[in-house]
Amino acid sequence: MKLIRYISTRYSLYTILLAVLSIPLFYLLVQRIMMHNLDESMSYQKNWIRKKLEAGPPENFASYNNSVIVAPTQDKMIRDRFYSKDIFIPDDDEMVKHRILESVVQVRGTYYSIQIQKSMLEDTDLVQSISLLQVVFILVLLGGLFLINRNLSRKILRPFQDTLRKLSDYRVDKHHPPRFERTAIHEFEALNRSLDALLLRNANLYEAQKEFTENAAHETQTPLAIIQSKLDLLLQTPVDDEQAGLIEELTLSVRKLQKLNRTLLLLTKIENNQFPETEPIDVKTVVMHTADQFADMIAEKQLQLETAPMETCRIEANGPLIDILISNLFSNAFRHTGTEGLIRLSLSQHAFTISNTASGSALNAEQIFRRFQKQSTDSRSVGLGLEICKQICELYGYQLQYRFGEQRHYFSVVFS
Amino acid sequence: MNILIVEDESALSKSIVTYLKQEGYTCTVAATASDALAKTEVFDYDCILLDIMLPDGNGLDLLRTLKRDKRTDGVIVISAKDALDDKITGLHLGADDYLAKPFYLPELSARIASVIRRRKFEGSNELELNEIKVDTASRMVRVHNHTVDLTKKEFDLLIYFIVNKNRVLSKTAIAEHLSGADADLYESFDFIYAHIKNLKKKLTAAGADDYLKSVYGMGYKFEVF
Repeated sequence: MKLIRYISTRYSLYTILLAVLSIPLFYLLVQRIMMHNLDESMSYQKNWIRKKLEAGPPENFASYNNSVIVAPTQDKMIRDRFYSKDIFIPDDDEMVKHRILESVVQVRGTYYSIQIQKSMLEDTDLVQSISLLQVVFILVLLGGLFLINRNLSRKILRPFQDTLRKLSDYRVDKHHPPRFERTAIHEFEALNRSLDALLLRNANLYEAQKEFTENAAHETQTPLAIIQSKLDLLLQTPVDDEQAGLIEELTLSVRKLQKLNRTLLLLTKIENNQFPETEPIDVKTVVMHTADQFADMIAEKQLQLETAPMETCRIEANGPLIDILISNLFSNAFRHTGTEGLIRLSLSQHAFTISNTASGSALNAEQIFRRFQKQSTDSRSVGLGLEICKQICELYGYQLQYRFGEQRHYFSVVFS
Repeated sequence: MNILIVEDESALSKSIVTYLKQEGYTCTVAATASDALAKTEVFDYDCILLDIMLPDGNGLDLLRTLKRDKRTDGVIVISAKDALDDKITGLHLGADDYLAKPFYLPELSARIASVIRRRKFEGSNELELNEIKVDTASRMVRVHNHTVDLTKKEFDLLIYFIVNKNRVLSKTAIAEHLSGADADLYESFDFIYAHIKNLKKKLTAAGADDYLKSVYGMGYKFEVF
């Protein structure tokens, strides 16, 4: 429910309740005032009649509908009595409520009874008028509320909705923090200010982290480059066998350190979602291309590569990351296949599977995707390849599955 | 051949200078982007080695300036950032090659030679070493004017050896040159032995001297006197 409707519903219900309750209240109040008015006016009339009586005896007090009756009386109790009574009016052919003053006055020793009657506004008319008035009042009020609400949501809530839309579109890795529309409403302005501060802080943190990642790469790779270059130079100086062996081992370690460093940075970048660009990718092309790259190595190692007929599989992802994903799965299969083993590829519309001849038994499915969890004693592997695959899959919501069967390891990526 | 090395890490630029000088290159070092810019304004270089992260700016900006001025200097971007976009941006801006740190000096030397060949002779250059003639464009190798049929790997190896002649080349450097970043997938570097043996056999069979020497425990050397 919209905020504005939530609030206005309550306002409207309260207004209707008040308006309905006010109908009897108005009725009673109006009736009271009218009665009071009539009584007063009848009192004046009575006083006027008494003065007339003092001037002379009553002669002709005939009046319309006998509204005034003056007659001598035996009753000697001087009094004024007001009361209401329904009286039949032949002209209207209905009973009409009247206010009546019955009074006894003494003028020059003679007692006269004076009766004055005045018709009152009819109850039903009064109630109808008041009800009608209230209904019109409610309708005008609700109509006004509706118009105000529409105006409010259009004008005052627009900056808020603008803020909301910009926030839901905002990605820290893609955009600059958005600029929110200015608003006269204090709360929205405060919200926008808080959001501005929050987004700026996040953007700065993100930038700092990205910069750190890049700088870390730079700072680590440079000393490695220096070590490597010095080793290359050292190799050109007269060295004996033992020294040459040492240089070679150092070189291997430098390469491994470099690879480890690069891989960790890649992982950090994937985790930080620093590969936001996506493009349509034909997985088949990527697989074929990767297979080509490995063809020489597979031949050197005397492995067999068997490719099942591949279906077309299209995904939307970051190109280099998908290259890395497929290539890492290839490397993994290649590395863990013994000489003359068989690597098998298959690609359906939704999944890529690579399997290789196992030299041992099933791997621990829970452990293989963990960092530095090496299942082999291969010293060149840094144990991060599958972790990277896992991270890439998580990034795009793919499933990376492992199973073991027929003495083969199966790794599958289920897209979609 | 004049090479400008734009690199702020003096230990690294010193190594590069030492190695390249022995190859007969004349090397100049610039440690900052402004220094490099000043030098390129005065001299033409056959090849510029350009580090991307410099104390006073981004090397790619320097590359942009060079290309805007329609300079023909060959440019190899050397970067530690290993960011894919740097590589793409660099090549897109007109760099001739990209090399990620750390690299092998023989690899750098081979890349420089290749860039200069392409720049100077528009790709139709013959490398000549005594009786061996290599046409890098048509990938033809002739010994005493007889064509030698080499595989792609053997051809790459030969170029690599000729460019780095009289140098000890480690097996890891050769393996990485042949297979790129995937070299660590090989359980041993014995596979390069097979390629080298074949290359050696084909060259000597065609009448070339036996230049390829195995340096025990270290690697190989293409010895030319």
